[in-house]
Amino acid sequence: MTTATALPVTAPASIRPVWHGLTVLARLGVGLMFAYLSLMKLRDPVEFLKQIHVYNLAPTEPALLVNTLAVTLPWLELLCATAVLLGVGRRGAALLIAVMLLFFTPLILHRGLTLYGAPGASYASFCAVSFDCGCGTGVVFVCRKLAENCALLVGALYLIFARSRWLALAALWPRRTPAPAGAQR
Amino acid sequence: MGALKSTLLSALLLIFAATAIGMAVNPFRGRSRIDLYRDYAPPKAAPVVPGAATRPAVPDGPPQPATEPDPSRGSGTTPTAHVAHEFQELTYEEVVALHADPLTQIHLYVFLDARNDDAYRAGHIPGAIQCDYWRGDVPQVVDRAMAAEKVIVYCNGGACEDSLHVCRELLRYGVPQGNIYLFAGGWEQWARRSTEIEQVQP
Repeated sequence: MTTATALPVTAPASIRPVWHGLTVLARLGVGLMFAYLSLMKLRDPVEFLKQIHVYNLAPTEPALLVNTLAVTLPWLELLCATAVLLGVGRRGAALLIAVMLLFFTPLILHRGLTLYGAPGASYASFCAVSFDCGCGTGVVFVCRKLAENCALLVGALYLIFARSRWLALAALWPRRTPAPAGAQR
Repeated sequence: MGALKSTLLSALLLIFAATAIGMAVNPFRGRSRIDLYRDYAPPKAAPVVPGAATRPAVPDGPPQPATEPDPSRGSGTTPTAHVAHEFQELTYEEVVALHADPLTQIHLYVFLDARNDDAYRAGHIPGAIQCDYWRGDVPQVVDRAMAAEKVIVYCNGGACEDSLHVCRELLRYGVPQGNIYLFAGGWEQWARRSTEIEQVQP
């Protein structure tokens, strides 16, 4: 019977610090990026709402729903970023971040393809297409934004499943359930 | 199962907290406040009646008198290269001439800047009134627009559509279509070619 005090370790001991490091790196990368993007949106939520309408980033009817989305989404991003950075409720926050990325990234791709294939468009390549995606960073090149989102998505997915609680506030209190085999402390 | 439950629970808590904070803070955001019940969807193109100024029904406003088309309209009924629209277009030279006209000084020609706060503060056509469609500024300028002979609306230029939204909203409020003009070159063209720039001091 496995207990929290006698954990079998599946990964070699020399690898464990790498996982700790990767988790902290992912938390910093995803958390800081989302904090920045959310603060840019929070600076002017009306501008964010405008981008939703102009670029059809989300269904615009009913009005109450899309307006509520514009009011709450930047705060949700900021709270998720804070949770990921502090390491409290990290998995839930990472799950929400992943869901947001999975929702918005195809829309950005669709918008890029629409602009690229638009009649009269004269882009040298798909990657030359640039527009304001409403992400809070102004006008961006589509390939760069897609690559950025994919990297964030990988980081968020990793954070959902990572077990390291290194440099996390959550490490200050004990796990409620015994950690499964192979868990990193 | 326990991990999944706590993950979903923390996600729900975050959604609840974000909604609560967003709703609590929104009313105090000043010009960045979002009116939850307003339909922000840009107004659709109004039907164009050749040779007559279009005056669509105004749901809440008083009935407006019919208006004859303005014979002195500028050279532009040509849509911009970027955005097709139903309004008269002005070239930079025409806008300069109108701006220098004494009728501008007595508010018979009104300039409306449809850009956002930051852009307007940084620089605008002297005397232009800020009228950001997204911040609900249009109702505040309707009286001045109704009293004016010409209302010249601009935004950044290029593919910018904010000026078009303002034009269509003015039309909805009963401003005669023949009095509404779009400066398609917009701020980009004005800032590049003119030295007359007004700024809002902080």
